[in-house]
Amino acid sequence: MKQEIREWLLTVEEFEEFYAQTVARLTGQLYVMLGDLHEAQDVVAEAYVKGWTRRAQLDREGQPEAWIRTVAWRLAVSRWRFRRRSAEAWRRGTPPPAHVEAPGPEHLVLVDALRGLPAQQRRSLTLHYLCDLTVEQVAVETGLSASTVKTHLVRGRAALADRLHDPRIEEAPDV
Amino acid sequence: MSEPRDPLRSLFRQAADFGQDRAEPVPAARIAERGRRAHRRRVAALAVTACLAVAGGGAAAANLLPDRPGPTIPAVTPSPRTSPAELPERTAPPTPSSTPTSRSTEGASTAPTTGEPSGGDPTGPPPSPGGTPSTTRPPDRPGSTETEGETEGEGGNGAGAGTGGGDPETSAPPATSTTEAP
Repeated sequence: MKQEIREWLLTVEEFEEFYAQTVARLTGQLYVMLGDLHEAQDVVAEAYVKGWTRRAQLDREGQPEAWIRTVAWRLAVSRWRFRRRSAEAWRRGTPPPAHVEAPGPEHLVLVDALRGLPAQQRRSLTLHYLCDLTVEQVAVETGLSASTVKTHLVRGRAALADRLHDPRIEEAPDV
Repeated sequence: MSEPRDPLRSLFRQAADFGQDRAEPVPAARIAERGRRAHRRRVAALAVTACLAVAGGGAAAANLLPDRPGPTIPAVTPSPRTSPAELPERTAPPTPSSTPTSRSTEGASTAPTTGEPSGGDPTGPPPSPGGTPSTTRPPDRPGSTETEGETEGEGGNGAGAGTGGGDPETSAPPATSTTEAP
């Protein structure tokens, strides 16, 4: 019994250590994927809360960071869907309130360019170029086939080169 | 893997560093507290679900189980519905249930002799005669043979009196039948 309690406490401590080591990095990655820093912080925190209740599962699978990243991405996708449905409902009823995003300092060129890409392309690009995952690893994490991931990477890269007006990006194919 | 000098990769890193530097992570204690709360909520939801399942299963089982054969209903209802010719044979078992009603009719006619206030008054208020006649019936038992004979005679005269006597809840119909019989 005492041993179980000790293991339980140790697991909590390990989780807190894991959180302290990875939360900033994961927030940065989700920021690139989502293009919104506050949204990235919210979904990452929510993913860690979900991970806290499944600490044993996190430890068993051996890739807690990938688990948190996937859960945060899914949370963000479900939030997008909810917002889209709300916007459609607003449009059907009364005219929606005017919402114009003020350009803030966090609007980087790349993030702006990434916002114009489809969500899966953005995710694949971020996992490959930022998280240093291979095409196969990206395919495993996203649940897509390797050929689809390659297509996403090639098309996303071309689109970014066009948006960033940087021909070097398109000339350096590494996929 | 790609070459490290990839301009796109460096752009991604810059963007991620920007978000990482500006991020204000929630303290780990708060994450743990939220996690504990979520865990507690889940356990409570599971407990409520289990209780509801057990209660619903019990209710469903109670409804699905066959009803026990009620001792009073089969004993009371067949006796008045049977034909008058079969009455003498069947009167032996149901006499305890059929006689009280006939006694109440007797009580209505012989009210002055017994002196019972509630059972003997047929025009009394409806709420009172529900329980009092049953409690005042035992003293009339010595004269039960006469009443049985009378009930048999009434059963032979008409089925309306028999059905009225078979209903133990109301004593009004037998009273009217007795008043109409003469």
